[in-house]
Amino acid sequence: MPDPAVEPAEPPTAEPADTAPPRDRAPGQPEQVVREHLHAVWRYLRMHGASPHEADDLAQEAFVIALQKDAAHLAPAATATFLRRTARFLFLRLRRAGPDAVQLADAVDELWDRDCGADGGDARLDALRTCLGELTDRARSAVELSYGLRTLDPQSRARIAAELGLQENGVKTLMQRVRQQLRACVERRMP
Amino acid sequence: MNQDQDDRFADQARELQIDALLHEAAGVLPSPTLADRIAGAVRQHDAPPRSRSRLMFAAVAVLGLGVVGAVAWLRNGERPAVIPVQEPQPVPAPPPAPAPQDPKPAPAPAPKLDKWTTWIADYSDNCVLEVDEKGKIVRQIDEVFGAWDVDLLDNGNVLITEFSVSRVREIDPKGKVVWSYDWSNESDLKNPYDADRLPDGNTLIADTFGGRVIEVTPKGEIVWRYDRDIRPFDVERLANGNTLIADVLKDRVIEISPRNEIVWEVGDLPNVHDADRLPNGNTLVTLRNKGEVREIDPTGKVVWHMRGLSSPSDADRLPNGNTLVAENTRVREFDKHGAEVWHTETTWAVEANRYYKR
Repeated sequence: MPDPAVEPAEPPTAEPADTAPPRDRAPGQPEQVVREHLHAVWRYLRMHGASPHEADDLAQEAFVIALQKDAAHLAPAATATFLRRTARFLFLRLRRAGPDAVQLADAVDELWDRDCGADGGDARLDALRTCLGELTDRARSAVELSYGLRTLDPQSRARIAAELGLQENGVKTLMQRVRQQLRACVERRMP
Repeated sequence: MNQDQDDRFADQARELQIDALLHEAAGVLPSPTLADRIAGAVRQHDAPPRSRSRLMFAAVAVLGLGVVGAVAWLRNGERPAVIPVQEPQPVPAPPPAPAPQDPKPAPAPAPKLDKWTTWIADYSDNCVLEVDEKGKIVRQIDEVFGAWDVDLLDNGNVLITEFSVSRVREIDPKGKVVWSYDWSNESDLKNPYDADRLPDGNTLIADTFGGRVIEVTPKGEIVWRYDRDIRPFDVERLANGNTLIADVLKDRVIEISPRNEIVWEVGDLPNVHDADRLPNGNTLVTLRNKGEVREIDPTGKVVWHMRGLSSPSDADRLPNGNTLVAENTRVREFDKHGAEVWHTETTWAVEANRYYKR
């Protein structure tokens, strides 16, 4: 892991002198770059803990920087790396991150590289959807209510408790257990 | 870093990952207009030479969005607690004295308090809505990007503030844009939250992440500005000609004279999203993160407040003495004791304004 105390004072440059990737994309295709990378950058920010609207705005800013710094002309993998590095910088700056947050960001990056590096996390999301179907009815109900999976209307813990006939603390415990189950299930299903 | 810490951060990272994916499975996705926003932002930044500080405006804007709290819909809305330290004064019928420069209006017929509609800016749905007394949508304007304010004007048009595309537009009842202040006329707005049409036809704009309040003429000329270390979330021109600003940067509400002097200030108002001067001289403020609306007298004393609201971003005192509050997933009207007397569901309401028929 990099030194957690060292965060870039400015967004990374498009072509660090020692790692300049090959230019294999015709210049002037910003729409294509946005189309190819937007969802992955947004998801990456969400996995760092950005709210949906924070992720919208930080992704926007990351693309503006990337396109201004000519990163759109890099090979797709290098463009993706540049966008993530920029997004990470913007997110940590937004949160005025201290050392702990930087270490957490490192852990998120490590996980991203391992789990989502190949496809931006699409396979993992598919695995999660499958795993949701394997939960017990009660556990699935708790997740559906908590995240608004069926209704797009996430419910409070109090309402879930009322719905499932539990105490609020019971809902908390149930959700912790279900999330652990889902994590384990997704790990099993990933290659 | 020791192994325990490593494990702790790795575990937190896995929790963040599963949480993000679960939300995505539930339909929490990038804004459908995000690609267009990026294209617009790239065009904006490509046009004239820009300084780095300007380049970073969207990242600064996120401070505000963070404040907005995009997971607010997870919060439950219970009946708010109302603690009237002192009963709020009933709103008197006569309007405030006009400002010296105001034209003398012809006496208007008294409004019918049982006939009204409410205009709502729905940030998440990228639209503004007009709903009637029964909550039925009677008009909807779509393709409003990041709606943060909507005002019905005397001429029947609506004035809309679009945060995401840094634009203020006036739209007539047929949907035609009759006035716009945006990048096309080099407005240089940066994610505004609020705009009001003034009696003389100028428009007062809280240019939130531009860090200024500006008054622009119909031709787009800036004729007044206040930009001393503020992040204005709400602004209004008072009857005495001063300007009231909700300043999130310093957690305060300030009243500014036309000469840019601070003539009144109340601090310690964390995340103040809205401030309205009431006809009784008090000021109604909305504290989003605290879930609270306060009425403050000129000495700064809290004379009434309502707590337990769900991320309110706007509150208006109505002519009947009730309070209309925009709370993300709904707009509610409360009587002075905190009892809900009306509500309508929304996706993410950030502003609601009631208009009575005459």
